[in-house]
Amino acid sequence: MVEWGRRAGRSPFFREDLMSETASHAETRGVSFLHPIVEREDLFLPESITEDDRLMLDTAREFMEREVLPRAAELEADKLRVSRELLRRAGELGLLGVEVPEEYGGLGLGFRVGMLLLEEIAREGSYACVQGAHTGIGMLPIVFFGTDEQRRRYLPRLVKGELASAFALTEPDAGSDALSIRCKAVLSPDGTHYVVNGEKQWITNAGFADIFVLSAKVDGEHFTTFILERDTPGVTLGREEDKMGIRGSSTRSLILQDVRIPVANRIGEVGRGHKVALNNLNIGRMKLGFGVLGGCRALLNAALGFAAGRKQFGRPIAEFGMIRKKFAEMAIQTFAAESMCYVAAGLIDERVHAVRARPDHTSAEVLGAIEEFAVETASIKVFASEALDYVVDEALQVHGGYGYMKECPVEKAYRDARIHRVFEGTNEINRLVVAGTLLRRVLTGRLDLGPRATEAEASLETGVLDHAAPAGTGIGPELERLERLKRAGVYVLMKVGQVFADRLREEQEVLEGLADVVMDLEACDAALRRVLWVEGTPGDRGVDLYQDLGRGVLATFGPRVERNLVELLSYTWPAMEPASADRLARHLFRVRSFLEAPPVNRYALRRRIAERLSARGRYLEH
Amino acid sequence: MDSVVCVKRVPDTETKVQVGPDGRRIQASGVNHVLNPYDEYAVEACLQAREKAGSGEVTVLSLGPAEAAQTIRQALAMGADRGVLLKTDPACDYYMDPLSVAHALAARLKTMRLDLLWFGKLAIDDQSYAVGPAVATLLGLPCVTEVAEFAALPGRATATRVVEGDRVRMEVDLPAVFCASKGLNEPRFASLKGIMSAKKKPLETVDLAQGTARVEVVALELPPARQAGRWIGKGVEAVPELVRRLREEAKVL
Repeated sequence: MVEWGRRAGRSPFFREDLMSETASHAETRGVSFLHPIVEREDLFLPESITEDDRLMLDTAREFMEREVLPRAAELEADKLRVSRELLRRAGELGLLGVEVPEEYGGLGLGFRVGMLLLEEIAREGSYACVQGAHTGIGMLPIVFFGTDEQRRRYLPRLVKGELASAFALTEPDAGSDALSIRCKAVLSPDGTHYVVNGEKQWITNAGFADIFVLSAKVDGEHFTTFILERDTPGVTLGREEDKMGIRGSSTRSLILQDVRIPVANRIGEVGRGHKVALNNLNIGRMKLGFGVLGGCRALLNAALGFAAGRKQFGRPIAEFGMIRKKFAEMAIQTFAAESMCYVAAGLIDERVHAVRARPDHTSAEVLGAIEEFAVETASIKVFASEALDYVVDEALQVHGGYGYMKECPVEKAYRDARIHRVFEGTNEINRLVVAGTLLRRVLTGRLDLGPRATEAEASLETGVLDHAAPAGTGIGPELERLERLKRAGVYVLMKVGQVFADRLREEQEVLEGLADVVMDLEACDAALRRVLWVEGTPGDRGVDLYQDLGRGVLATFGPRVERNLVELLSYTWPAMEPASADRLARHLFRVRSFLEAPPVNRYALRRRIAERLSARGRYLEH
Repeated sequence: MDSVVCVKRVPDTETKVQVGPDGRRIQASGVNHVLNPYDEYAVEACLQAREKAGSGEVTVLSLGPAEAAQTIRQALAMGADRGVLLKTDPACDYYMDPLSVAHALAARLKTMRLDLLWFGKLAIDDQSYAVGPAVATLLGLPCVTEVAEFAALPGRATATRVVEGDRVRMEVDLPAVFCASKGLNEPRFASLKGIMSAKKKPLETVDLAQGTARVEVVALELPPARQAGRWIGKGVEAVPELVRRLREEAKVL
């Protein structure tokens, strides 16, 4: 539940909220980060996990260190056999059934623990894909949308790792445009099964999967999801793809020729399969985000360790300013992505869990609960994968020539990282999802930003932020700056919506700019919530480092928001008021003045962060 | 086959330890604590003995602060049946010397039925190697330390010790005390189901009546930073000079 004023002296700044204290978790809403920060005690954060979560993390860590990482080369050489062996072992340890209800052999724990485990699993890029695809996009459609009979038939063995699963959506001519698939299913005359023909491409786990969650169109029109067993006659696999990275994961195409799938293996209704597929991707995106976090943390720690031992000019390179700056920037990126993933996953889990906890819930309600957070899941995917690319690039740079050599794990991590900006929807598609979903919700009235926009316009007009910085926190200026950025962001969002409502399809770069604003605001919001949580919670976590990381996030992403807003306004304005260049200049001046923030000493800030990281020898731990 | 395994909560070896402001103990903040790695071998030995015998209970006993309950849970998650925590008082937070610890453990152990009593051969934080043998002495039980191989029979057990250049196989009457060394077994890690079910297993907490300190920690210091290496020369020609310095400066030859 929401709890207010855990510390004396907090101003009403925190009390304005979109969720009343009595709001049930079933009504936890998406896109809450555009509103003023709400302080909550039960935030999901790396710092707030339970002791049991920690034990489970230990199990995942030991599994990785003792059984997966030592076999990384073997996994690449003999992926089909080793993948199966590792999945089976993960199944024994219970790593594969976290979200699966207990009656089907799982632990029935909700998303949070599953996400945490992924961070550990992600330390080996290929295996992360093997287990991620199996437990995520391969298994969850059955968990969430399968019939009781389908669940009984498949889940217990999937949870044990006796069966492996894959998700087959992409086709040669249907990549980003996933709804244009051609794979066709036709009901047999006797109504007992579908006859399916088509070709699927780039299917993770295809080489050893026993079941495929398959998307096809009934009669070539109605998007529908099926469970396809590998042994069914007419199923053939293509050769293994020769990939740049994640070379220990199996990626193949799937050719279906008159394949007969029993009607009982249809998931959900005919014509509703796109909902299953797309929401499956929503969850997949969140999982990808968490997977990426584990990579960021491992790479930052590797860079810290290497730089402490590598001497040049008679000193460890960790002592040099430009290396230290890299540590700080990598930590800021990681902290931002991490905060964003955790805060959003906590909210999603809350809502989905509340729905699933009701015995009479329908799969449509589960879909609705997941869909509510489509903006968050897409933005997590984009933001985290780009943070990883930043971190892996700098980690390699810190390693210098060693980082370019095959024997250095960073070389492999560099190649493995790149796919994350491409799969689970390219980052371009996900940016369209972020901005498009948001604008659609505003334009249809589903998301009421009206009062927020009025407030934003008023404060832009007067330049006054009618909220005092709260007392008792070390990040008052950042909180104020974020609130200013949010208001300007909402203002621009509404303007863009008004002007381009009927031709958004032709304004992709505008949507991209808007998506960047939204993602950066979400990251800043989550990072500051996290700092507030740490400040307000007893315990000796070293609050200084958290405050500096929060400041660093604002100092890094705040200017980016500002630049994008100015660009968006400069483009949008002429459409609102043609031939008024000087009025635009005055308007932009007002917006810029409103966003004017006290200068931040970034050199000193980065040095403080880097010094603390070097002293600890590693990034923050759970 | 009933066993008791004594375990200790210790700082994680991966933690960079720093001396606290009082100069007598380590800085508590930012330190992860784990089940002492040698105790993990001991826990595993008990679990295997129980599995082999097909019956019996494994009890986990620990002396430590309230947080040590978490360490016991870790052993319960591996498969032990019940836990007992002798909880120290945070108000008298002094160093407990090995004999005091052994007295406290022995007092409780006297009330417990057991065939095997296992310890790790040492705790990685204070490395005293003493508590296991001290408890054995207080209880009047036979004791085998440095156990690298183990097999229990009804009433008797064989244990192999690793000593300088040799392996010594011993047979002892049960009940007896054993101290686990590295390589004794491969400790299992807790399955997620095990972790969930550990929450439901009985864990008894007893407030420990602590006496006064008999041994005092006067100062705690980090080891001196390693000195930089020196080039004496290259190739065969450098050997005589190297030998001379090893003998005269380093005094290791």
